[in-house]
Order: sequence, then C-alpha cells, then structure tokens
Amino acid sequence: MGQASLHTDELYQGALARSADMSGSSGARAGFWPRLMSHRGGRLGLIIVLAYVVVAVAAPVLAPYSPGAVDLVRRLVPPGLRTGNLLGTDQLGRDILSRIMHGARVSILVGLATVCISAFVGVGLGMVAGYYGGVLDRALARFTELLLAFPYLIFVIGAMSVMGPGFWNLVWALSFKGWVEFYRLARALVMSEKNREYVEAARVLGRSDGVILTCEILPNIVNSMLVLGTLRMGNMIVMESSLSFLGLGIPPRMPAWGSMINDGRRYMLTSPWVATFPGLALALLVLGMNLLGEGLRDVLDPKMMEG
Amino acid sequence: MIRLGRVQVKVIERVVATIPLALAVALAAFVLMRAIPGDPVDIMMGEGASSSEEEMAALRTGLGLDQPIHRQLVVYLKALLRGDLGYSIVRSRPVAQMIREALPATIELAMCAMLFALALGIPVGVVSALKHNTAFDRVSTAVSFIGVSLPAFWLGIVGILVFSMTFGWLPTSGRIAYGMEPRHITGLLTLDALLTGDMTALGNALRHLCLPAAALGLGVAAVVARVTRSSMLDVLGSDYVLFARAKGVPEPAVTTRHALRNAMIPTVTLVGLQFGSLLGGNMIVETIFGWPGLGRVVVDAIFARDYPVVQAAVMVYALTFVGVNLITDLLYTVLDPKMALE
Amino acid sequence: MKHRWIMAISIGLLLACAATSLPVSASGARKILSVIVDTTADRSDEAQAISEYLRAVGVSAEVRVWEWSALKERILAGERQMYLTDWGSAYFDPFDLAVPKLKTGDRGNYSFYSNPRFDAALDAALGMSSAEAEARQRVYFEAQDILWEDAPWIFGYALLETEAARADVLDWRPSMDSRINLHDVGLKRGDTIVVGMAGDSILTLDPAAYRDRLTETVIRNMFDGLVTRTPDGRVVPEIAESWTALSDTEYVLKIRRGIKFHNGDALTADDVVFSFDRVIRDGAMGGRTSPRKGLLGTLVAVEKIDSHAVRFRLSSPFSVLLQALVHVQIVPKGYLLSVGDDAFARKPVGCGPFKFVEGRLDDKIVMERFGDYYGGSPDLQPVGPARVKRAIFRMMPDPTVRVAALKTGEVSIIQTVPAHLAANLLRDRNLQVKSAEGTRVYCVEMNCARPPFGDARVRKAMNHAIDWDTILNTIYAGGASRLATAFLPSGFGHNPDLEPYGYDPQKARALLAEAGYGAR
Repeated sequence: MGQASLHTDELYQGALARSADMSGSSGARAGFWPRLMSHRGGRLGLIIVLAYVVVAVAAPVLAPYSPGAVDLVRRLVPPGLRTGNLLGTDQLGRDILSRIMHGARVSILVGLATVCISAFVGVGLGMVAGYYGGVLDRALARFTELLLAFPYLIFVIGAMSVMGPGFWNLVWALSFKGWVEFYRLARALVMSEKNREYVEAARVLGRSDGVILTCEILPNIVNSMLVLGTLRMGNMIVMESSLSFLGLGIPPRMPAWGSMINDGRRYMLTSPWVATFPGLALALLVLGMNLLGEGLRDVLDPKMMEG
Repeated sequence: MIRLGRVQVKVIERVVATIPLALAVALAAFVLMRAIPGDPVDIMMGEGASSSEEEMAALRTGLGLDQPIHRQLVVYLKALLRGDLGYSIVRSRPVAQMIREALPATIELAMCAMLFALALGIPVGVVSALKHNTAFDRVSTAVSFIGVSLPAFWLGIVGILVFSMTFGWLPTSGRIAYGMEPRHITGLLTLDALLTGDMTALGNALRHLCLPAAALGLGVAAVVARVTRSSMLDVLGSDYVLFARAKGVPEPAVTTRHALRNAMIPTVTLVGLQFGSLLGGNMIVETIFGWPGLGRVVVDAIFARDYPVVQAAVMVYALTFVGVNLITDLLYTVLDPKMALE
Repeated sequence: MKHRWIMAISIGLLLACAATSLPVSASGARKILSVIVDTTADRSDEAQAISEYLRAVGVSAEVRVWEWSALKERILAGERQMYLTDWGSAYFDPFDLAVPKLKTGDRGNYSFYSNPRFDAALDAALGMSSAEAEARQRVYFEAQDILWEDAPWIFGYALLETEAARADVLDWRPSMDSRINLHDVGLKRGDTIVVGMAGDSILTLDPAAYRDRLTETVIRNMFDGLVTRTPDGRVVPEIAESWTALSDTEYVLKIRRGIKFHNGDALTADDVVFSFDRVIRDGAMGGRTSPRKGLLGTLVAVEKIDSHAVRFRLSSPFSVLLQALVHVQIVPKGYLLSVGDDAFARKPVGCGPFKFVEGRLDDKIVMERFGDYYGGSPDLQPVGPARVKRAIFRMMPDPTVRVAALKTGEVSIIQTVPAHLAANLLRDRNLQVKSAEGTRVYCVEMNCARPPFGDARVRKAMNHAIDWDTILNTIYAGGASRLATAFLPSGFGHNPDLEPYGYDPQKARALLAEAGYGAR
C-alpha cells in the first residue's frame, strides 16, 4: 500500500467509516427527516439546493427572456429595474438573469453527471478492490497514484483536444479523476465491513461474493458515498469554469455559469456585473450543497451530531 | 555500518518507489501528447509565407518526429535514463534549462499560497470550533464555502482591479521589479533575499507575491478551515480531552496542547493533497499575474505541441507532488509518533 | 433503504436536465441547411453572433469552441464545415496572404478552394519583377474579382492594431507591422521605458530561430536589418545604403560604413552573407534549419562583392524581395561562430539601438541603450542613439492586467488593447491610445470541397446573411474595417472599388432556396 494515499484512507476510516458503523442501524431507525430539519446547516442547505432545483426545472417559465437571444445593440446594459434586465446583459446583449436560470440546469447537470459517473466507477472498483485485495487492489493503487500525480489540467487539456469540444466530452474529462476519491473511500469502508458478522453470516449461508457486495455491503456504505457526492458536486461545477478559462468549456450556446464567469472576466473593468452575478449564483449553490452534505453527514453519523 | 531507524528505512523505500511512478507518468505524458492532434512543426511555422513540404519534412527529420512512435519512445526513454530531458522544439533550448528557470517561481508561489491558506484557515477553523454554533462560526462557514466556489482567475482579476489599480497598494503582475533581484541561490526570491539579508528585495518580492498567493490560496484556506473545524470538534469531544478537563488542566492549555495538536493531523494530510492541486491549478493564476512559472510554460507547450517540454514538466510536477506528500507524511509522524510511516 | 428516493430523484433530475438542455433536432418537410460553426475561444462571441444571423435566414447553426491546433488538424482532414480563422501578413503583399490561403493546395488553404484561373493570376503576379508594379496590380484586381464571385469564405475584416501609452511617452505611434520601435520614442521624465507585451512568452533571442511576431517585436530593438519599414509600411534603407536590380533575379546592395555591433566589431559584407546563409541553408544553425527559410522565397545565394557590397541571387523573379529583407536581422559572424548558437541565443549581440542586458523569455527582457549606434534608417527620424536609456519588455498575457498596469504607471506602453477598453482608456488624461491599420485578415472559411459549401450559391448566401457592420461596431467597438475579399487595404494590389457583400437576409434566403434549402 502506499505513498500518499494511505493517510487519506486513514482519514476516511477515521472520520467517515464511523458513519458506516452506524448507518446499518441508522438506516433502519426512523427520524431521518426530523433530524435533518432540526440541523440548522442541513436545513438551510436543503432549502438552497431545492430552490436551485426548482429554478432549474422551471427555468423556461421563470426566465424573462430566452437565454440565447443575442441582441448586439443592447449589449452590456447595466443591471437595474428600469432597463428591463434586472441583472443586466452580457457582451452579446443576452439577459444575465435568464442565463443564470437556464445555466442552473446545465451546471447542475455537469455536477450531477460527473459525480454519478465518478461514484459509479469509483464505488464499483473500490468495492471490488477492498473486498478481494490482491493483485487487482495493488494495480489500482498504482493507477490511482499515477492519476493523482499527473497534473490534472494538463490531462484535461489533452483529453479535450483529443475528443474535441462537447458537453459529454467535458463530463468524461472531469470524471476521469473524480472517481479516485470515491474509489478510496469505498475501498476503505469495504475493507472494514468485510470482516463483520453480517458478512460472515452471509458467507456461511453460501451467498456469492457478488450478492454479498451488492446486497449486504453496498447498502451499508451508500450513506458515506452520498455525503461525499454532495460535497464534490460543487467542486465539479467550479472546475468547469477553469476549463472555460483555457477555452475548453461547455459549447457556448448552453449557458453555464463557469463559461459566463470566464466571458465576463474580460469585461471586469467596465462591466463587472457580467462575471459577478453568475459567480454569486455558483457560490450560493456550492454553499447549499456543502451545508447539505455536512448536514447529511452529521445526521447519518450520530457520533458527530451536534446538539 | 550505519544503522538506520525505522523512519529512515521507510523514507528510502518511498524514494525508491517513486522511480517507477515517475517513469509511468513520463510514459503517460508521452502517450497523451502523441494522441493529441496537431503537428509541432506546422505550429512552429505559424503563418505568413508558404513553406515547402520538403522544408517541413527536413525540420521533422531534424527533430526525430518522422520516426515511428515506438522508436521515438525508445529514444525518449533512453535519454530520460541518462537524465537528458531533451530539447524544446519551439524554443530551441534545453528543456532542463527551461524547467530550472521556471520551477522555483512555481514552487515559491504554491508555498506562499499554502502558507496563506494555513495562516488564514487554521485560526478560523479553531475559533469556529471553539465558538461553534455562534455567529462567528456561521459567517466563517458561509465565507469559506464562497471562497471555495470562486474561481481563482476571477479572484485574481478582482484583486488586481481593487488593490493595484484603485488603491495602488500592490503591483499588478510580475515577480519582482527590475534591479531588485537578490543574488541567485535557490531561485526562490524571498528565500534568497532572506539568505543574503537583502530586505528591499524581500519586501518587493513579497509585495508581488501577495495577490497571486491570495488568489490561489483562498480556496485552500476555506478547505483548511473546514477540516480544522471538524477535526477540532471531534477532538474536543473525545475522552482524553474530557479527562484533561476533569484533571483540572486550564482551558487554554487543553485547547492548544491537547486538542490542537491532535486536530492538526487531518489538516496536515490535507496540506499534502491540496499542494498537488495548488501546483496543478496555478497555471491559470500564473497567466493572470504574468508569473514566470512552470504552469505557463506547460500550457504554452501543450498548445504548441512541444512534446519534450510537456513530458518533462509533467514528470517534474509528479515528483514535486510525491515529494511534498512524503514531507507531510514525515510531519505526520512528528505530530503523532504512534502513527507508523507506511 | 430509505435514501433510495434521493437517488431516484437525482437520476430523474439528471435525465430531465439532459433531455431539456440538449438541442432538439429540427424536423421539417424541406431540407434544412445545418452547420456547425467552429471557432477558437477568442472569437467565441463573434461566432455566436454569426450563428444567430445564420439562424435568422433559416440555417440551423451551432457553435463549437476548440483549441486551435486540434481544430486545424480536423479542418485539414476535411471533417469540418465552417470555421472562424485568421491569417497575418507581414509583407504587405498577397505573397504571404492570398497565396498561402487560397492557392490550390497551399499550406494555409483551409477552405480547399481551387480555381485554376485564380492560381494562374497569382503565379503571374509573383513572377513579375517589382518594376512591373502596374501590370501586377492589374492581375491582382482580376484575382479579386474572381474571389468575390466564388466567395470561398465569408469575407470578414481587419482589426485595427490598438496600442496605448502613458501621456509622458513622446513620439510614440503604433506601426502596421506591430513593431514597437523604441529607438524613436522618448520620455518626459525618467529614463526607463517598460512595454507590456500581449503574450505569454517570446520564443528566442536568436533572430533566425522563430517565426512569430511577438518575438520579432522584441528582437528588432536589438537587431537591425538591411532595410526597414516606416510605420505606414514603406520600405526604406537601414543597414543597406542603396539597392539596384541588375536583372529580375539579381540585386546588388551597398552596405553603410561605420556600423558597429554591440561587442565593438565592425559590420561588413561577411556578416551580411553569414546572416542570410544561416537562414537559407539547411542545417546552418548548429545542425538545425532556420524556420524563417520560407520567408525568403526564391533567394538562393548571397555573395560578397567587396567589404561593403553584396549580391543577392534568386532562382526565379521574386517581386517582394525588399519586403522580405525587412525580416532578416544581421548577426555578427565572428562572435556567433566563437560562442556557438546556444550561447548566442542566451547572450545575443546585434547592431540595433539597444543591447541585451538580461532577461527571461517568459518574464521580462531588459535592454540598454547602445552608445555607438550608427543612428538607424535616415528615413526614420530621429537619427542617432536611442532617446531612452533602458527598455524593458514584460510579458503580460491578460489584457485586463495590461490595462491595469498601464493605468498604475507600471508600464509605459501596452500592446493590443481590447476594443471595448479603448474608449475607457481614451477618457483617462494620463494616457494616449492610438491605432494602426491591421495586417491580419479575419474571416469565416467554408469547406468548398464538400456539400453544402461546394455550391457557390450557398457560400454567397452566407456572405449576405451576416450583418458585419453591426458585429464590428458592437463586439469590436468599431475598431475594424470590412474587407471585400482576402486582400488587405494596406497591402499591394488591393482594389478599393470592390464593395464587400452587403447584409441582405432576403437575398440570402433566395440564394439558399435556389440551392435547394428551405427555411425552418
């Protein structure tokens, strides 16, 4: 085992495996909702995230203008009630409020899709590696070390040049390294779970390894994965803006916050609203996501519950 | 015979273990660069007047790019084992020389960003934990999440517009003013200035460092604050802290001697991992601030398909990352001697 | 599991978002023209405006933003349809613009345009000697008519090169070839002038080892050429005193006496012969071949006549030789041979107004006034040593940061002011903003070798569909001029009477209908 990775695993084991300890019972215990709702941060986070989801889903109804309606004559209109563009317009005369609303669906989709792919790959590999150990485990350990040591932006620039621009290409490129964290956490949790009585019992009953992994162990670690996923989603959305900076973001007709911030960067001196409002929208969602994630963690892990 | 302690043996093992990793990273970089469409010679020729096919072919032959890929790989690996990083296609100079020039700037920026992050994040995290569920805790929570979610390039530009252009407190970009450079020792300007006792150079270098280090470090500061807060809360609720309190140890001593020391362990781990993202993410900040570091060299080299430069730089990044993690692991054992260095 | 609902909602949301944010393919009874407009990030705004205009005439258009080298590879493979590209010209002549861009099979011909009549016209014009200017111009006029009729591109514009300086910089003006000539510039106060360069890094300090303009801008303050150009593009003598054409393929240049290199060596015909030999002979740069070779066209040899005269021999007539000579800088033979190519690039020695002090290519290059300078071209006032004591070129890739640094006075001159900031800078009394005509053609190329753009009617329709005047006046704040074809107004042979395609969506629709495409 090795290198830098071990201590992360220990960290996970220390801080998060406890959640697995409890989750077997807490899953069956009632009162998840009341407890989440009585958790200040979690409640606020849930409200924020739900509000974004509502805006994202209802964007076509809520948005005052079409997000793609170019109007070169009305470009860079400052925010205000009188102009009809509450948050102003961007460098192509598009309404920033409408773009933020529609951008919610693209950005949430980016976050959700990358986290789902990462979680799927990472949990799958992590469970197998943690359960069986051996050659596969060692090989994966080496591979993840390689991934972590390889500068990520260089990889993404390269990958985007190979695949060409496109929404799903971007999602793949972002997921490529995102799964490592899920892998490590899942592996560490499975390693601690696999020697417990209920797994032993299942083995004695003659269940196959596949059944044990999916039906016995997976339900016991899914809470931790959920927490990690919530915490990671915001990161992925921010990451998209870095790629936009390098000219490799989402295709421009889809309004995405990262690209909007990057577009506005050039106008910071004269029209700061172009970059600032999408930035605030992004910051608030990340705040909500993280509060929700921490809330979930506290609720699902009574040891860390705070009054 | 020298008897090595357990820690020394482990360190040597770890150092040896990085060799295959470095080779694997080099190989990955080689494959990635060859997979990217684009022809370095064509890019180097730029536009303007026509260049004949023979001319381009001659250039390619001169660079060894007309060889089959596997032959190029063998040539590259052989040179690498000799310690030869090759010759930049576009800038026609040895890659080792380019990296020697640029790496100190990048390391200096990443380290200052990390110092900034720790100097801001740890106190905020500790106070949040001690005063947890108060207004301070909530505000710092909100601010740190906003800090994580603002892209560094946006922070950088805002910083320049506010602190350089409007107030005129700090220089907009660059690493040090001309004529101020301290004598070259390590290449880290602040360190060189300290070593030579050149305080004007130190001041000037620090003024140039403020904005880029803050833009780069703010996100990490937020993460550090969060992790410190939660591990501090963890430790404060643990048995031995209760025991220390019961024994009548005064509260400040409990906080600093017992709690903080243990709470630092996850933070140190985090520092190692985050240092990697600082190194890898700094190319954007370097571009904004005209910082003459490795990140800009690499991005330029990727876009120009300057294969040798990218391959070498990726390896340097990887080795730096591994090295920093080794150092943090050593720190780890200092903080908690029970922890074995695996 | 009680959190199954969370996962279910997540997946549902994922699918819903995916379904609603992906473009729905248009369905209709008639054939719809559907294109993907490819661009690099710097022109993404313009590409979106263009695709909006295309949608307005019933074309289904989408924008894709690429990294340039990756896009180019796919363009050359013939996979792309329509792409925003640009091409710089350094010679003020179609030689390095229309020829590489539009001649059949040439290096920059990304539109796969091929018209034998057009090729013949270009060949004819290039083969003429520079004495036959009028005949050359006639042939180029004809070539422009052919181009206009074939419309291989959506013809675009040339951007003004806008630069800005502090008000205390004297006698500064941007030049068309983006040269920043610090020799002529003075300062009201102080003796150091700092220039903020619009780029990440220059490539080298060796005048034979690069092919980009940024490097040239810096290098030409340390090195002089045989001839140079005035800011408005006229070729005038510099190191050379005079030139005579013995025939279409033979020129004699007299070299000025009393010129010294920064190390004290006198400049003679040997240095001139050596400098050109280094560029045109294969492997002459320590085994490598200079990337600048192609810039010298048909030049095959430079021979010494006596210590201050040389003969240029061409393999065939090359009408733009003098323009080409501007771009070859003279290096000291003795010094270079004694230290070698690598050391020369680290510590270059030239005969220009400034000598190299120190620098890093991606940070700053510091130069000092050369006291023994011969004075430079007599046609460019003032003649004599440089007026400022020290010049520093700083690399500042981000335009907002360049502007901020100019406003704070950290730098005295900045390159490439973004159009929307020019107006802002003009209001600042401490600053001056000036523009020069650009020498870079911006256009939208179409793949003429494949449907739908194999059909000239469709290409013309595209030209009529786009309201360039609005685009240029808004996105580029008026800092650009329309082009009727691929010839620059600043270049030789441009026909000023040829009108650009007008914005006419009706006509565009009609042409599309004629070609068999309907509207949405």
